[in-house]
Amino acid sequence: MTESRKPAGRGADPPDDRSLVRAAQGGDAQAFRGLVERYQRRVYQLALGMVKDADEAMDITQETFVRVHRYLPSFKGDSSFFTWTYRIATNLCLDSARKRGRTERVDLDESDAEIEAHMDPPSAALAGPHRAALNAELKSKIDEALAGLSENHRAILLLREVEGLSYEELARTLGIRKGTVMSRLFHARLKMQRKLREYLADEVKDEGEGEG
Amino acid sequence: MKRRCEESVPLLGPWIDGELAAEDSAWLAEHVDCCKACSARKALLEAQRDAVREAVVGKAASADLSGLADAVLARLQNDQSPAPVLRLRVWGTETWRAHRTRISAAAGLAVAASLALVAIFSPLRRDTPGRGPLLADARGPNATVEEVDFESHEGAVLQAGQTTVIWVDDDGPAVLR
Repeated sequence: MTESRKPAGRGADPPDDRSLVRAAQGGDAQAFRGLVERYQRRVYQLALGMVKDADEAMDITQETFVRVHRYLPSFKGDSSFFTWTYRIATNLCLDSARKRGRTERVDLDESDAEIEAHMDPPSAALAGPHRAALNAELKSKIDEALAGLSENHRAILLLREVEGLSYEELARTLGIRKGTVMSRLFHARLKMQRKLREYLADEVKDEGEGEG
Repeated sequence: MKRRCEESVPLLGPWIDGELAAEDSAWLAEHVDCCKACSARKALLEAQRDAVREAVVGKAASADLSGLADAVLARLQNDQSPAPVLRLRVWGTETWRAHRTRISAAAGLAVAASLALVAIFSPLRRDTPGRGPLLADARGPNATVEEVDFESHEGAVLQAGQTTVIWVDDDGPAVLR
């Protein structure tokens, strides 16, 4: 997370977000270009994770930065620039899904019993050697599992697992309370786990009940 | 699932995310150390996180974004249009949220003022028989008002400089009183 916020520069340290934002607010197009180049990959991967279609993800990425530029004068720096940018990107992704009629309701929280059933002691199927051999089939299963989540679950999972946003940043980006962040993330992970465990069933070697 | 595991399961995520309070982290670490099931759950969460990250980042890594910044800047140059409706909507919403108390108060005052004006100037006013709206408000240093009984009607004569206004209440005294 931190390393990608500060891309490696040649020689002198690259200017931080705040300096670039200030310069861009003053009309410096090169400063704005710097911000785009710094975050375009991450915005694109968020969009790609959300909408799946590469062209649509590219359009959303471009539109995100057009909006960022448009609203830049009103950016006060209360949140970090990237959180603000992700918020715009996430909303565009959700809007896009809504337009295509793909939005699902936020899944209702599952009952404790259901959670327990799905939190049976797992094997470390994805850990160790299996993890190292993350093959094309598993990647496609992950894709499939992500696509099966509701938009809200997918957004929070991508922002946390891929972009590494803190819970506070997630709350700001998604416009929800921190408690909701924890609950939504818990359920999103659980649903992913259920789908990936199915795929891994043959490889799972149960390690037995806990002792705690 | 045993009680300690039940308590641990919802906290494993926040723990690996580094979002758990120190005191909770301490007992959770102790529990996971001696509980194979929770240890495996934690490993699975971490592995899933890494796998998702690797899959998504890997997929996006192959995209050619070299022209994106140019495309954005070109769009900005061509698109010098005024603020979109969206911005107006956002402005309206934000303004309402920020100032709703004042806006409500101002709207209330405006309504009250309108009602007062209607009450003062309405010719239908019945609370001061024989004194029309002009009577109440037209008197001044340069104007005189004289109430007149027109037998079947009540009224008044207003004289201001060279101007004379005769006011007659069509409804007559019976209605006024």
